Amino acid sequence: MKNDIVLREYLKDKTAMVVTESSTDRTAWMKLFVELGVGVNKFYSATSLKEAIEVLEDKSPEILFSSYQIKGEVIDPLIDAHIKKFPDRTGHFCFVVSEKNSLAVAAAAAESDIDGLLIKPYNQLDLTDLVEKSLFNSINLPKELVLFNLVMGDIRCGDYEKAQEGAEKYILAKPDSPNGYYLHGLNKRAQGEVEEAIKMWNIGHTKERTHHKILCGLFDAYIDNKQFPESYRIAEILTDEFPINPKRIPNFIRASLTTKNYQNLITFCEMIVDVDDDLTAIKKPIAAALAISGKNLLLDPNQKNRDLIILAAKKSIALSDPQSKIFVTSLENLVELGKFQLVKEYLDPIATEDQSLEMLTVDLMVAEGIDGAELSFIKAQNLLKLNKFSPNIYRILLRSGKEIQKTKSQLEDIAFDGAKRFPELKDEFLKIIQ
Amino acid sequence: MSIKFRKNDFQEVHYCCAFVNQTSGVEFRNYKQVKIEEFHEKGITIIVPTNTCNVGHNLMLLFFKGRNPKMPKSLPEQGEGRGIHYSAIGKVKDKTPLDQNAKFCTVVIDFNQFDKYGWQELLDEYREKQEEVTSTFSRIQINEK
Repeated sequence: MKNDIVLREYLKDKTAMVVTESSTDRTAWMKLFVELGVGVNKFYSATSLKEAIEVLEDKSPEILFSSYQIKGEVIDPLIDAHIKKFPDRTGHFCFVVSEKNSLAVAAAAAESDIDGLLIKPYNQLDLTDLVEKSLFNSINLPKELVLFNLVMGDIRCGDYEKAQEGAEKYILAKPDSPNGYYLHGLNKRAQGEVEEAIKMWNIGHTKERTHHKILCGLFDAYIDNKQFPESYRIAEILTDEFPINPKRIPNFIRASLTTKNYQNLITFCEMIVDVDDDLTAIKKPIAAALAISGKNLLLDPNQKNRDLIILAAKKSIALSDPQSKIFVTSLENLVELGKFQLVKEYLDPIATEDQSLEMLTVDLMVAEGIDGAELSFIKAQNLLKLNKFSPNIYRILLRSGKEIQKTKSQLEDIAFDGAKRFPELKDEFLKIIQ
Repeated sequence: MSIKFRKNDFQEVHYCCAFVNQTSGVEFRNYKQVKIEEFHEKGITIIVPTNTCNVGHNLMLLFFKGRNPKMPKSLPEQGEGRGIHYSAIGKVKDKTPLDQNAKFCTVVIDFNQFDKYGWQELLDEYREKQEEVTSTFSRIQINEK
């Protein structure tokens, strides 16, 4: 039998829902499914996320065809609701039409278990062809994948005993396939048995090194288990083989920081900043990663690291809130490298009354670097008069005081005053004035 | 080995469209208000503000690459110039209000003066992106060999 006839027969009793704000899309998509075989009286439509979820609850459409974003909202909750409604995905479909068409978006969408991502604008013939092919493949699943969907459904429903039996059945039927081990691991993970899940997924990983779901499962489990070197090793394979799911970026950063892969992390973050125009969700972790990496690279200040630290600080400052600790850390990194003029340029637009104690301290460090001992001594004294106290203010006051030849007793007064506020630094303060 | 980042994974295919209504003599440079809905073999469906064109009007469409292209101060009559990736002239065949307020409408345009190879290249760019997306999908989805 020809594909289109098989499909027509299969779809004739299916119900479908199209979700879009656009009346043009609504008409075109309904026409597409009617041509493929869905009955004209078996259609529902919705123009908002809320309405779509209500229709889903009420009418249970087996096919969902939706815009990726409705009124600015990503439709993840609708996809989740459809999967919850039909935990066994055999015979149930979810297609998403997106104007965003990067592979990163595709990777994120594919992880949400939808059947296809179609990019807009499209040519109607291409769209029909794509949907037809995807549906045809889905209705001709090998029996193992029907079992796979069934077990996934059991896991989603919390029927872990049945899922366990299904996963074992899968492994028995396909001992060389990683899929059974994936299911086994997922079932364990769903019950909170992370160690067991990792064990199963690692067996699956030996069967197929680049099984996407196993790699993601392992990465997330290792992160949750704080096994960062292991998570980094998996992330290397994952990012080598597949486009990055943007949602995973904060954890890639975490894995890199904890394994001290600072140089690579700076390059990684710098590239993200360059290409991604929608950074809102990951702005803070990227800025923090850049600042922390820079601070750690200061321990080995060779020329290559110096350049990276400066680059990281500039990017981090551009992404962070001036009142944040991240902003100040990046300024401190630049001060450490003697980039006083650059730091001054960042600080000058911020009014003194808006500057935190940390920022005022950095400003003083810049003064010490640029203006010399006399002015930085006066500036440091003024800060103390304003009840601003920090170890670095005392250090600079003592260093510059010594340089401009304040008397020994004046310097000792300062050192003892500092030691009263920071007793643990008494010896250091006294050493400065020796 | 280290964690990899490929710029290409974050790059999109995107074109913006502005147009000159040759019948009314009015140009419409606000590309953010022109939404490309569908490509046809010899034409296009776009959503535009209702008062910008009518059925039977001739439009010269100018396509700019990227989401935030630099728009010239006035749209060139000959359809060529800096930043213009492609241009075509066509007649508005159909116009349907988008909603009850009818501030916007869907407009179907049939091209009558266009470089069909250039048009095909533009369509192919989207088609290739779709193929890449589909291939990424099938690599990520569960398969059984």
